[in-house]
Amino acid sequence: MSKGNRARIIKILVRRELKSTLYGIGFYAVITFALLISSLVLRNYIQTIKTDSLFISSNPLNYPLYLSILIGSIYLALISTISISKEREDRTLQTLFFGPVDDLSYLIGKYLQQMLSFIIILVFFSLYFLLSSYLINFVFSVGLIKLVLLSIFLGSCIISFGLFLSTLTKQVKTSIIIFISVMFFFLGLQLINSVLIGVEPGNVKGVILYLRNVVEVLNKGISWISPFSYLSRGLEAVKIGTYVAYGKSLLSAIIYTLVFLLLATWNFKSKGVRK
Amino acid sequence: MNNLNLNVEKGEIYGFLGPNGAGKTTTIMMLLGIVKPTAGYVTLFGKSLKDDYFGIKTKIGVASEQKNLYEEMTAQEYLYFFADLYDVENKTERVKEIFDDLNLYDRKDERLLGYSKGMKQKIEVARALLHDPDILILDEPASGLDPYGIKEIRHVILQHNKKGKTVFISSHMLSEIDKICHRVGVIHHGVLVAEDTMENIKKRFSDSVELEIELDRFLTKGDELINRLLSYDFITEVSGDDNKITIKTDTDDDYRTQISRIITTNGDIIIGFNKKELSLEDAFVTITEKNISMFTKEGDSNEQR
Repeated sequence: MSKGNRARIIKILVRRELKSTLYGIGFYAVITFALLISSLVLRNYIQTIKTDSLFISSNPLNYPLYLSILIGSIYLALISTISISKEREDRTLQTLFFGPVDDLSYLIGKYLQQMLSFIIILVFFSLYFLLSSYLINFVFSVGLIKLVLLSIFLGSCIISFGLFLSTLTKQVKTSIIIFISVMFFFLGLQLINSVLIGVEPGNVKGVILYLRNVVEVLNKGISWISPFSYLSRGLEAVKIGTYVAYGKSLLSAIIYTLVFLLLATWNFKSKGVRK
Repeated sequence: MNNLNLNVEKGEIYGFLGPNGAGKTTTIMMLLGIVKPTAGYVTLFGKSLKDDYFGIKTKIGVASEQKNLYEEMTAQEYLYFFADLYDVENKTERVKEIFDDLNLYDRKDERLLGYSKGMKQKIEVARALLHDPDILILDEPASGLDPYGIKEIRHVILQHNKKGKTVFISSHMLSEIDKICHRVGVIHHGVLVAEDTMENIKKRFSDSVELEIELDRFLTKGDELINRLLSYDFITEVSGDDNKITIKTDTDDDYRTQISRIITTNGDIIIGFNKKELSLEDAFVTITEKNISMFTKEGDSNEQR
């Protein structure tokens, strides 16, 4: 297919999907939920100031924003995970492929649509935090802007990972089960790791020592696969504040996206478009 | 599929027939590049999909039996979306024209979710016709339609064919195939077992020709005329009722003149003569049954049917 035709088809696919997302209630429900959680955190900060008259933080809005982005990302990861399997299950995917849509234009279209949705979510979040900063007099720092910009790339990791998961299955139900299992595995491993690290050094021996080492190695490995680890590392990079840390985080997010998009394309081609 | 070679001529309406599970839909999916053949290749317009994916796909229109629609969209939004994908010029006029042809214009702003099965089928056909394709591929186009709907779809198919476009129809509705197709191919167990013009197929695969003759008198019990007719080798069956005789002959020749002579020799007068048209259904059953007997051991055929 010529580049011009493919670009035109991608544009049409993105427009339809984006319209469908923006007309859906789920998109706004997630934004509202994320901002509600952030508001609760901000309220706690204000309570602390009221009771203790003291609150020390160079970027007080960073953590609430991180929480909002995390919630928005989980929503996008889920949507990405079911997006292809749903179209396959409904057989609308097959109908698209009756026409001039091919593997690449379809996957790029899906990715771009999810990215645009994420950027729109980020615009909502940014406006909210800008308004909050004005109302409660918390600084809207450069770090916050950096976090917003970096999260675009981290969102890209989450979307490409979700699309990859979606290409693995032919049913929505299976996609959701895979998504939940993967999330539990990633988060569970992180939790076990933090518990084992917290055990006093004197008590670490025998089986616990072995287990701690295994979990630590696994956790390190998973941190390169889990897209949410990239989000945490991004937040760390913003905290550190150096351009090197920021650049590393950005570059790793781009590589991650490319790898998972390639894997998704390969998997999609081998699985085919039929139910 | 097993060594399937289909040759569909430009500008014809080709009926693709076969029992359930014969491989009709798989063949269509292979044509469209959705199912990859384990061996061999598919060319459309003399090219493979790899060579000119967009060019070939925009020359084909496909309507599937399964109504795979974006049901959250209105009918008009749906057709506009596909018109954009196929890069249809003057999409507003074209979509209106198709809505008019299929009697759907009044319901264009309704969501597809609320459409009946038959209306969804019409939208499938409308989508396939949007870009005025050179080859129109229809998989069970009359599925879920009422007689009015069937008539409308038949009309749009014939109109499309009149423009010199090729139509490829896979269907179980043999009466519809009989009405509109120029040639048919019959597939069974993934093998093409027959391919010819409609007339030849019927001739080749019908066991007998049925003639209905009306006399100027009533037949009696054990009528001499019936016995006389049965004495000829080419007549396989004779039955009489009131003043009508039904005669079955073999299909080797046209025996109407000979039969007229036999009847009138002894003074009987023929007041009506009707040659019953051979049905595609009979031919189809014969073809597929013969095929089953080719693949099964003797005595197994009934279980296989």
